[in-house]
This record gives sequence, C-alpha cells and structure tokens, in this order.
Amino acid sequence: MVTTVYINQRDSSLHKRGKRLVVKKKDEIIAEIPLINVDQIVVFGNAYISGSLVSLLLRANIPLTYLSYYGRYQGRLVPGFSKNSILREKQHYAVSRQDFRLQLSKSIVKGKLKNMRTILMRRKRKAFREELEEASQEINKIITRIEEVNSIKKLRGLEGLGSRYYFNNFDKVLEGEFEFKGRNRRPPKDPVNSLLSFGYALLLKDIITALYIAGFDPYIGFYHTNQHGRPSLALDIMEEFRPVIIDSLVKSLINKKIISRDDFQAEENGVKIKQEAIEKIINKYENKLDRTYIHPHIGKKTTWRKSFMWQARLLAKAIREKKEYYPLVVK
Amino acid sequence: MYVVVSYDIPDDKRRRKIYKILKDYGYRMQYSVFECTLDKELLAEMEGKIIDVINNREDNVRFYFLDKGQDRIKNIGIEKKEFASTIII
Repeated sequence: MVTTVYINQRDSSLHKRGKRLVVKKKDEIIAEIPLINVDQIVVFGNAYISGSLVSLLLRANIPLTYLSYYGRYQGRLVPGFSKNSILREKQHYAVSRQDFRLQLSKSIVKGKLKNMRTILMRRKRKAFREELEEASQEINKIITRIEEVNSIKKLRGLEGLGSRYYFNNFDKVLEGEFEFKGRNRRPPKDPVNSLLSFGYALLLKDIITALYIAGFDPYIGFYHTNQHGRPSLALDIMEEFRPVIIDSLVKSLINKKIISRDDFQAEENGVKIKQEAIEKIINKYENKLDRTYIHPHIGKKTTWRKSFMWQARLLAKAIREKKEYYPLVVK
Repeated sequence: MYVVVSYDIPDDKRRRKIYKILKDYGYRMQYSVFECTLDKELLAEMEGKIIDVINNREDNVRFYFLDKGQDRIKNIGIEKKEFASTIII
C-alpha cells in the first residue's frame, strides 16, 4: 500500500525524526508518519521544510509537490532527472519534427474529445437527452474533421470548438443546486469551476510524476507550446484524462451531494473551496485513482493511477518507434 | 505484507530501543503493538535491527502476518486513524 500525504494546514512546518515525517503547527506536533510507505507528499501553500527532511526525501526518492491554496501547481522537490537521458534526447528530437508533433497532437485531441463525448452520453436520466445527443454528434463531426487538419493551429481551433460544445452542455449532466455556464479560471468564478480547477491541479501533479518516472521531461510538450514554467508535456497527456477522471469526479461530488454551497466562500474576484471541503475532494480523487478497470489498449485490468504510467509508456513507445500514440479512450 | 509486531520487554532501555526502531516502520496501535506494511526487504531490515537489540533470554517479540491486512482487523473503542492510502493533514 502506498500512501500519498497531503498537508492542508496553514503555517505548518515539516521536519524529520528518524525516518519519519513530523508535521508541526506552531511548534505542536500534529502528525508523525513513517516515510516507509509514503509515495509522495503534496503541500498546499507554504510550509517550512527542514534541511534534514529535504535530504531524506531526496535520498528516498519521495517527491514533494507544492500546490497553491487554490491547488495551482508551483513546483516539485525531486532528486534530479531520472537516468533515462536517452528517452529525453528522443523526446527533444521528436518535438522538433513537425510531422510527428502534428500526428501526436491529433491523437491527443481526438482522445480528449472522445472522452468528453462519453461523459455527456453517460447521463442516465431522460431530461436533456436530446440536447446531449446533439452535442455528442457535433463533437463527433469535429473528431472526423481532425484527420484533415494540417497545422497545430487549426487543430487548436477544432479542440476549442469541441470543448465549447462540451462545456456548454456540461451543466446538463449535473443535478442540484449548482449552476454552470461555461468554463472560467484564474481565478475560477463559481463553485463548479473551482472544483474543476482544483481537480485538474491534483491530476496534473500525478501526471508530472508519472512522466518523470518514465524518464520524460514534463516541460517539453508537443501539443502545448513551451512556455517558461509550464509543464507542457504533462498538459498534453492530461487532456485525455480530464473528462474521465476530473469532470466525472466533479459530477459525482455534486450529484451525490458530497459537496454543497457551504463548502465554498466568495473571494475578491472568484470563489474558493473551504479548507475542510478540500479533504473530501482529495479523498474522492484518491479513491477514484484506486479503482480498477480494463485498459482498452493493453487489455489488462489496472487502476486509474497506474494508467498514467501506462500512457507515459505508450508515449515513450510512440516516440521510440516513430508510430502512433494511443490515448486512453473509455466507453 | 501486513505485519503486526508486538513485544514484551522487561528492561526499560531495550524496550525503548525497540519502540524507536518500530516507529520508523509502522504505526503504534497500542502500548507495545505496532502495525506495519512492509515488503520482504524492509521486514528483514527491521528484524535485523530488533535482533541486535533484544536479549533472547528475557525479551519476546512476535510478528503476526495478516493476509488481507486491515480487512482482518476489528476495532472496539477509540480508533487511531493514522494510516490509509491517503493521509490528509
């Protein structure tokens, strides 16, 4: 059993005692955890970390990820790139090849749109069925148009169009008190968008980890352009997972009434999730990652968590063999 | 594998040493009972350290290997919820 430790406390400090992580809040020990089973540590906000703990984490290869209070990815503490420099070299070369970049980007976008379509079609109730089927068909049409596209710019246009159809209809899969009129962010302006943004941030850190373990440089991407500080490759691979892991999770949180209006507070120009609610979301997210299913391409039973590694490996294979990348498309 | 380690050590110094060793490997559930999730190597490592400390004539340390781990455990009374596959502090 591997454990992810999330530190969701303001003014906390992290120390080492023996081989244990000690979490203090204002000099009082609030947790002591043996690092033996710990897989990664995620800290929300700022937390003081002692030098000896840093050394221990680096030696034990336990990444420490910093996310902002909103969940936005800040950075990670890791021992340095993994030894797979050959794969990274191939990654850099592949990125410079326009034809490969375009082909890979097309696979990524197709995977995302197919999964978006699936999420819209999962609604069991009769209400809105017609509209959802129509949106799903529009997305299908866009997917067919992708084949003909000859530039990443045009591909982005189609992706944007498909995403708009999806998000314009996403509220139809939600039941209950929350409104959703489309995607907004930086900062998110309503509860549903806060949930989506936060969820995507959790997902991002796990995809970065998987790519890093596979030997990739998460910052050099194919579909997402390279901007300073942006983990573009992670954003690329994340596309196909967004609908099926996070959008689906948010739908669950809302429809099963695990989250309510009381879990949010208004801020200057947006909405923030209250600290107590964050725990509920993280638990649901982690539970989801532990669920098993059969990977469509590999044919084996696996967990969603392991799927990040599977896709990273499939990407490595596509790059090495200069072949097609198969995104994870669910039914 | 899931291992329950319980110990009975009359000597204070040695008992304290065993406690300090076990703290790095698992969670203390009761006065002299720890529960750990370990692989073969870590188990061997932990055993080695314990063997170095104990006095074979006076001390006793027992390992119970539970197949389905926490599924085989029932708790009555206050429960220490320190471990899970996700820990949120």
